[in-house]
Amino acid sequence: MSEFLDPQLMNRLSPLALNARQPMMGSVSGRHRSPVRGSSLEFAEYRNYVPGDDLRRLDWRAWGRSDRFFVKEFEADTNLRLSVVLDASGSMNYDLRKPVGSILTRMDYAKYLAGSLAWLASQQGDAVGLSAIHHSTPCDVPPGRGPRHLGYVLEQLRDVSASESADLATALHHVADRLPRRSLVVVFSDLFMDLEELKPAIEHLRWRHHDLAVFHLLEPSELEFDFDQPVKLIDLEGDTPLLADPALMGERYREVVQGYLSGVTRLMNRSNADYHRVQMDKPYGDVLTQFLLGRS
Amino acid sequence: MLFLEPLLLLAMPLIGLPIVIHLLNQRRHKTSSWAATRFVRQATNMNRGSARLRHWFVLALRALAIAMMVFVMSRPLASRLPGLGFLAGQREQLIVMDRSPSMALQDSATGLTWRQAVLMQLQDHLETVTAGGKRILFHALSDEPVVVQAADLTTMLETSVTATQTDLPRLIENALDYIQTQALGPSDIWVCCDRQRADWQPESGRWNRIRERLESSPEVKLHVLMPEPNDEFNLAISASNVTPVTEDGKQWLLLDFSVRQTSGPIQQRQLPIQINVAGRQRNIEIELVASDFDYQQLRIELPAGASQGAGVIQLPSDGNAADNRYFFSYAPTPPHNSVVVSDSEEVATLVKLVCSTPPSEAKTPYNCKVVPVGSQAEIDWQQTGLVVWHAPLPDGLVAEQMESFVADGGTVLFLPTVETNPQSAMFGVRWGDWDDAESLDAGRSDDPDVSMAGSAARFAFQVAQWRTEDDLLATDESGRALPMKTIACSSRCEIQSENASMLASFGDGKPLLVRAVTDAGAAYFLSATPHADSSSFTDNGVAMYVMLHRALEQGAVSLARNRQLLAGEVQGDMVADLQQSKPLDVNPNVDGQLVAEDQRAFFAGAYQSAEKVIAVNRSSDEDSGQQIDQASLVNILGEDSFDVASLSTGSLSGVTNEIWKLFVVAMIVALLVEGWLSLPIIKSQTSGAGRWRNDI
Repeated sequence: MSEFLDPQLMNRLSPLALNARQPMMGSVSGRHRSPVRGSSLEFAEYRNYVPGDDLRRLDWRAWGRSDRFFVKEFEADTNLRLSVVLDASGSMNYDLRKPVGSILTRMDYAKYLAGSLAWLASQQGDAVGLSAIHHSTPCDVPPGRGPRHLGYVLEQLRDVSASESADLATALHHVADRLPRRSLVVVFSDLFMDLEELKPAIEHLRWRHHDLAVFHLLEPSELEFDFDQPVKLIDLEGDTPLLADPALMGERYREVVQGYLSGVTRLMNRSNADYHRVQMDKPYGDVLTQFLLGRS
Repeated sequence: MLFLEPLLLLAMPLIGLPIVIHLLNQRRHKTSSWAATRFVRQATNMNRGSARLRHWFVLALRALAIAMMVFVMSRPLASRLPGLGFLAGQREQLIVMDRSPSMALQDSATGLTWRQAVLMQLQDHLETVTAGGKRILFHALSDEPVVVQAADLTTMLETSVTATQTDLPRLIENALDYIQTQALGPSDIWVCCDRQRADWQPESGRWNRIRERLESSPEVKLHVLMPEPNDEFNLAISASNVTPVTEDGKQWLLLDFSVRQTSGPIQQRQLPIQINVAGRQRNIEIELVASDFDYQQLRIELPAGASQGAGVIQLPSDGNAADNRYFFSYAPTPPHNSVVVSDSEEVATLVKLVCSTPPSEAKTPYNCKVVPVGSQAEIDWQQTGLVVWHAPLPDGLVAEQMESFVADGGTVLFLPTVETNPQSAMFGVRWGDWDDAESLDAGRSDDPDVSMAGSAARFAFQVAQWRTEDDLLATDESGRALPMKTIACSSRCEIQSENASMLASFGDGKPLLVRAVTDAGAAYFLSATPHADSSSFTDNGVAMYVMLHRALEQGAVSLARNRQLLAGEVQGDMVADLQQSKPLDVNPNVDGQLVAEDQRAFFAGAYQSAEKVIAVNRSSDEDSGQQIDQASLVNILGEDSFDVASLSTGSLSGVTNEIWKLFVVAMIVALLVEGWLSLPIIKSQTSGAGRWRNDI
């Protein structure tokens, strides 16, 4: 078991399934709906026969009753490709005010979420891939199936470290192009970036019919800016340090954050992304449970 | 603005304390790693406007609150006088007080006289600035200041209204002299006065000296506290020519009186007048149709045997109680007794002829006695009004008797003798050498009218100038000048004196007649004798007659048993007479205080001793109603050497007021606003997780 997998939590989550919100295009049969008709046991619909159809699929009983030719179609079941996209910019190293166990930073929180999700997907036979977005040492593991591949993914996940800045938008474009269509893309990030840059990337993923889920990881202190005295802020992505007086600009900061969050929400809703703003003072297990239940 | 504790203003730099604390607070920041710096930058950029302004405003309010606190501790004063020095509490305080009757003008709204109002306001100021019990020097009637405390100003007798006309330039000069001789250093001179022109005497040449001294002493500030122009209705009454007569076996008192309106609107009105004399009261009513009313020869019947006494004529109460009464005394007219001391039969005969010849309207005998030189013991000094001394200047006992005679009001006319002693002098005057016309004609006048004036042409030294305003050679009531141009002489004796005032002089400026300086009475020196062969006095007897009779009239006053005196001008033995006399009535001053015996010379009243009846009154100048204006004040004091506070009698707000309460209020307001601005802004949503939508 990986260090990011909590056996008790996994045990608790195992009854829940990681479902796709839309038909997936898998490589093998699985538990997820496919956009194409297949030969499964689940009846889908009747349709009129057209020349060229396989005569074996004619419903002769229906011809006998109605003297017309109908073709009987069944749903196709397939697996999904889960691609975990992990933001590895420096801002992901932000320390949690209330660390729990070994979860000390935003990156740790994201790794626990991603690792657990990968394990769940692998357990139900889905393919799992990993994209860690880093400015110098990006990690890109294509989706694959099986315990060995999962172990590899978790190992890569463990080795991801956050530093400096990263171009999340470009990376998402790359993921959208590289992944086969109709995959499940789950992004873990603080999304501290220009929304005008993020918007095309999100729309690109949706245009490729990917099922997009976004975990927007935020620490409550980042929302409230609840310092009680002037503070020198060291930028985690290497920018110039700032001296900020909460008495002077605290309220204005909260207004800016509120405006930013509204923009993110609006963007995600318009793109039909499965958007989850996560306040990291909550146990990640609850976050996962809520995410899975929302897809059940 | 003034401060009672100005040194505490040194704490004013403490207003920078909030800024220093702010800067220290900025330096005491902690360091934290931060991810969302983009939002901090955005917030900081957006915050450069109103929030930053608000923050600086809060700092400014804190600095203002500290400044207000420093001001409060420094005890600020608001003053109506811009010239008050910055260190008001450390300066010497001198008061020059006008105690003239006009200071008793009352405000009908408050019932306070101007004297009370100005003293209350000044007291309020001085109690504030001299909180440590600092002395205050008070100049009023006497030349030396009285040391007083601020708390006593309104109640002490030394500040009460008298009947004495104030000589403001003298008082201010006294104060300046005192500052100079005592080396007081920075001082404030408070002139508490009204606008009475007679008290200011703007024509006096002393103002030039005062102005120069003030301009050369910038550490001395002159503050004039004057009332705003007051239009309270006020009348003043005075009496004159009080004469007892006997007609048809009855005794009557003839009295002239006048009523003058000094302020207020003029309108026709009936005015009751009350006269109290010889234990009787008489009321009359006059109709006042103009500002002045004169009544000639009011006849008042006297009881039998009351040929000598005193009385008072008074008005109903009005704006000023100090000029509603006028005291008078009366007694039979004294005889006009004179003595001529001379060994010259011609001179003695001439003088006796003139002095014993009464004018046509005379009601008393005119007696003149000739005493040979060396028989001065025969002179009855007590019964003589005029002494014509044609003998060497006396010395020893005779000189003392003569000085006492003059001090009692008698008049002496000195004539030169052939032999003069340059060593002997009287009243600061001595005889010099004779100057004969045969050898010198420097005194001959170039004026042909003078040269050819009658018999004067026979003599070389002719009179060219003489004093016509007052004294022996004054122009008569009808405006006609004495024929002094007809007076000339062929020989004259030099008059040596530094202080004597010249009444008549020859063409070369040498004196014919001078008056020596005396406290009372009069002493004249004539440089020529009335010999027919040496002067034209006998040829033109009018001048001689008038001159001698005026001198006789002056001297006769000393013989009168009644005296009509002006307050503040009582001198010599008369002061002692007043102290030893008995007031005819309970005689409080205007403020209801009993007048001390040694102060009677300054207050109106009537007194009687075994020999004399004395009435003391204010000067008629006090009833003139003429007031000095601001332009005249600037003219006499200069523009920069004084400041004026025109105070209202009806308002008791002081010359200066402590205004620390205003600063306390300002400090509280500043702190409240600062607190309000420093309050955290109420958030529109609940804080915490529920505030952010879509949170899980």
